[in-house]
Amino acid sequence: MLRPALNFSKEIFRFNLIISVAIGFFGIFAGGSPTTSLTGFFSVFSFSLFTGGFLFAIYFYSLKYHKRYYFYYNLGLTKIQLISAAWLFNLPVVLAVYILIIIINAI
Amino acid sequence: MPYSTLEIDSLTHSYGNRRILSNVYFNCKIGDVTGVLGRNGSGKSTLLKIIFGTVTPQFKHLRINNEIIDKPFQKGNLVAYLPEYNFLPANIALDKIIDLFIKDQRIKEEIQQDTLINKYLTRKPMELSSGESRYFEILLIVNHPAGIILLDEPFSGIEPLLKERIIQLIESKKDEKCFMIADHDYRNILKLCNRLILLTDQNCIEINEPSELTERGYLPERYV
Repeated sequence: MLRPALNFSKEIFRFNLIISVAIGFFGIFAGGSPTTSLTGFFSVFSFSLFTGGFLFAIYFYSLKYHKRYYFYYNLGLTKIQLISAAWLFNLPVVLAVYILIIIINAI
Repeated sequence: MPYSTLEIDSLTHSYGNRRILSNVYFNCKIGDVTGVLGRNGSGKSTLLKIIFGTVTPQFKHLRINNEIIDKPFQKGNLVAYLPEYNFLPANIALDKIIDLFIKDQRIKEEIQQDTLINKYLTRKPMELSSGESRYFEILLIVNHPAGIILLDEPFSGIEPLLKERIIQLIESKKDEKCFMIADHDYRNILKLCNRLILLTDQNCIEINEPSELTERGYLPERYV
């Protein structure tokens, strides 16, 4: 069950990453100096990975590739299980980004 | 151990105000290869999705091996469903898909050794022709551990030689599984299936003679 859910998470993450990077650029404008612009980018980017970017990625996938859910349904996975797994998949990435923000702020 | 009997009773389903299925009864067991025929919009795909558990009807009473089950697909090994359109993830190659989809090592090797598929194992589904991709999907679903196999339009867009391979594939598994096949390719359905049902006027009618398909308004007279 874990491996198919991981594959679904990777599919969603690709879309989420593109959307969240795009949204992250809005964070640059919030910062004045290069350092605050960089941390602004990463803060908005990581926030989007868990929220708007993720929701948009799920919406886009469900709209364009909804038939692919049947691959996972045939393995006994439900849509809620898949979406939960995909959301949790972001956790290590977001943690890594927050560590990066702490390092940038410490420099 | 695959489950062997399916029984659905009092099935009623509508889309908005349009009733598709009304008080439908159907059953099947291992060894049955049931062709599901019906005009466009008669509810063939809906019936299969209701049995699979991804469409919730207004009312149904579904038993698999005498056990009432609400959403069979959630059990993982009861029912497998081939949807009408391509359903494989596009980000991984065929050998990875086999690895994710099939647990039994012997069956994995059988699929990998299929003479049509073995040369494409490192390719992704989108790199195959639509017919090859469909054949691969059918190969996966037919080899699923479930005892009940639901196939929605398996012959659609497939060349005659591949259709023959699909028929052979289903015939090779019919003693261990129960098949329900919805398709408009009635010639191959008649050739392959040992039972026929026709969905018409919201009902599910058992067909005993192909001529009944004309009488019931599914086929023009010159087709039989």
